[in-house]
Amino acid sequence: MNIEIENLSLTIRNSNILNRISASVPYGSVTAVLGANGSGKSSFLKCLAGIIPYQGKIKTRLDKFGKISYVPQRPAVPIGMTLAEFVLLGRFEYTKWYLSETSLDREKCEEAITSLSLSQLAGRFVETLSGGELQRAVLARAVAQEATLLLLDEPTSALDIVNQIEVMSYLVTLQKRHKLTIIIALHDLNLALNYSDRTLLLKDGGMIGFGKTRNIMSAEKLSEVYKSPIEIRSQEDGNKTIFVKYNLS
Amino acid sequence: MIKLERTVRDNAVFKAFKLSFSLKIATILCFVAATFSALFIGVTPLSPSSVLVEILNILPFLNLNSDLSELEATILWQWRLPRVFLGFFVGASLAVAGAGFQGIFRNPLADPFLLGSAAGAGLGATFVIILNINSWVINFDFVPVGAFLGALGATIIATFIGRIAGSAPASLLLAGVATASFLTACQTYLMQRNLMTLQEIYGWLIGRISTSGWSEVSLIAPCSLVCFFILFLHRKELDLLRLSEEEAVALGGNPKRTRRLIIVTCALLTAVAVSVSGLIAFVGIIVPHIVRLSMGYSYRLIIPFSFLLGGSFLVFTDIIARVAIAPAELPIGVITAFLGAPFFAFILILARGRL
Repeated sequence: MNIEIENLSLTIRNSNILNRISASVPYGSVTAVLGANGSGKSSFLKCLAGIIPYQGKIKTRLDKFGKISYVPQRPAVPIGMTLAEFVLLGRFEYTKWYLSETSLDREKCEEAITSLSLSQLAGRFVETLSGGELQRAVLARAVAQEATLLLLDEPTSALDIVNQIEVMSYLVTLQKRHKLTIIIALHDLNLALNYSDRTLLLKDGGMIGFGKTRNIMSAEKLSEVYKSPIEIRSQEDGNKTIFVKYNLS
Repeated sequence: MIKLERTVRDNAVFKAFKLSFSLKIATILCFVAATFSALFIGVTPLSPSSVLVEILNILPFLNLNSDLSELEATILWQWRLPRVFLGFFVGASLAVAGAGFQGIFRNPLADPFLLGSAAGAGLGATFVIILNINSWVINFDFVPVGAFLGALGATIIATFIGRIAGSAPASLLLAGVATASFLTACQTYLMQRNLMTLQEIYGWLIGRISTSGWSEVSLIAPCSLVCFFILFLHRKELDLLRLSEEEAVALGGNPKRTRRLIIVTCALLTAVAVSVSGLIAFVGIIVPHIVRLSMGYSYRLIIPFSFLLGGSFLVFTDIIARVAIAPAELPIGVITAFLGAPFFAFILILARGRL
């Protein structure tokens, strides 16, 4: 069972943002969306989340399998909201419109906070959290939402390397524990190589390739996507590392 | 077991969006103190115990002697009590409308008059006074009607321009500024051309809580309560709007619908408040901030406690308006700003920029 994307196109003010993208994303996989700035990664995720209208078909079958959670590139940081309240907003859809959250909602929220090791910070205001803690809080909100499809727009772009790896590790753990399907826009090619099962390559709104990460991430394809020479080296233990060669001249 | 229960109660998740017991009690005490003292303080002082007994007498099966003379009882039932109710509902309406606008525009400077309703109400009232419409029909005051229609009309114009300009909240906000400026210019021109009515118009503009009988209360109370209830039911959506538009949609909210509904509700609240009391400044902006800074930033707290504290605040300032230079009265708008501004500044300093 897959998420079927057929001829997904997006046009805003006569400009083609996405152009006939078709892919079949398996449930329970981590898919990295790669591409240069302005290639349409964020728009692709927003279409999947149903936030912006698009042409084409997206069959998520989530009416059977659960909800979609979308995390934008820069999540809002409301002043004076505790981390617990921030995560509890993930239960919005589950509560009746005229009632407050039930104790079940609060328990789910507590579980989500604990699963991301944020219990000690639950009473802290979100504006006082570090970048890594904030990303974990956003993930906790998605867990509280009991989403089965997680759409993340560059969640690691503002983080240092340690926090990038920490957030990605939490993501993979959550994915395994809750059998999540994750589609994640990334800038760091090495993170994509190490943490994703599948990769979708975008260039100027068009799809350059989609498939298993190890197969699709070739030096040629990546060089084409980023319009810059890219090299992949194998380490002694068999792991691959990607180097980007900058043309400084 | 006790330890476990305490852990659950003290847990941040279980405390989320909730107010401490002591702050709840303090708010209720504020409300009771302001409303009750407004009943016995005035140019004709009444005995607090007699007032209490007289009010308790409305309960069934109670037949107590309040010691109030017939004149004092009339002052209480036909003068003080309607005025307390009127002050409460005007203050509560303005405060809740301010909170609603601050919520949907994510702007701490938002107030109930943001979409030009003050300027519209001012122009409406000015028209009625200048054209002397009150002389057309005996025993009917058209000034509130003119103010109400003016306030609503201005909001409709601002919303219309805002929608054409774009879907962003900032477009609507700027449309409100443009509408208010235009209508204020029209009003100033009319006032300039009709200097004889200047004092009457100015007296209305500065705001007052005056009533003889229950007519104004019966006008504002149902509207205020219904609109408050609508906003209270949307308190969670307002919290969701504290996130970005995209996040609110992704979490299951409908920001566009919520924004439209809250604009209509707040515009109605403001229009009905200004129609019975004129332009009372400052309540709508400072009360939600006082609630926010002292109790919490969630609209689950801001909406109900702005209603309660906004009403109490105006009832309290009305006491000062009545007694400060008795037997004359001070304009209440002057007192709301005179008392409210330093108090708000104090709260703001305590909060150290957390707005």
